[in-house]
Amino acid sequence: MRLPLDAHLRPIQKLALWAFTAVFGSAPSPVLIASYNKSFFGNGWAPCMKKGMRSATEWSVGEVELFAAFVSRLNSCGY
Amino acid sequence: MRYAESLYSTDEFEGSWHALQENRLRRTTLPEEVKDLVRRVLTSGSAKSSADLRNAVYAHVAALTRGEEPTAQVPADAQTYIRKVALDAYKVLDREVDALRAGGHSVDDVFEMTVAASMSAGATRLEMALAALEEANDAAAS
Repeated sequence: MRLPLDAHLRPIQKLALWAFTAVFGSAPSPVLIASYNKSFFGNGWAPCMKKGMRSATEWSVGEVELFAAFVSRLNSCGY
Repeated sequence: MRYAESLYSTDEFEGSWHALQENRLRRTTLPEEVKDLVRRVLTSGSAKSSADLRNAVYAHVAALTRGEEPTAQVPADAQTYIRKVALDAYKVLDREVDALRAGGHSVDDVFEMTVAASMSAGATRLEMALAALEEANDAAAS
């Protein structure tokens, strides 16, 4: 994460981020990106994620997650 | 005219990248959720950067992704960064983002250009894949 997006979050989002970091050790970039100016991107991105990751009929959720992790690995992208 | 050719034709271009993109969105077989997100990224009033800039970045990256020479102009100091986001996102370096910010681009400008470039690269690849599937299905049926 190279942009200081966390500095521009609303107080309630900062609190949620703090709790997430306390539990998991670090803040995942996708959560930050989806939370930053949500009406510009995050609110529209969430339905796409749901469609892509949870609406498949041919594959189970676990298989879709495995595909996503595999593709991210090929892209040298932290998943 | 085949689907892919009609989708990527710029015959109807009348000086507005947004009008061109909207025409494409009406014809494309992208899922509605993706179309809505593209429209949001290109036209949202809550964005801080100009819609013209986001539309130009989107059109620029769409051309790069299809292996074409881009005609939409993006800021000269952001051209290399946008190209990297489009084609080799994992190669983006901290210092490239820092250079954009040092050059006067705000956090919002960089964020929104990056989102527009990423959305364009992803949606264009998805369009190309759907077009290829459609042509393969047509070929199998004939």
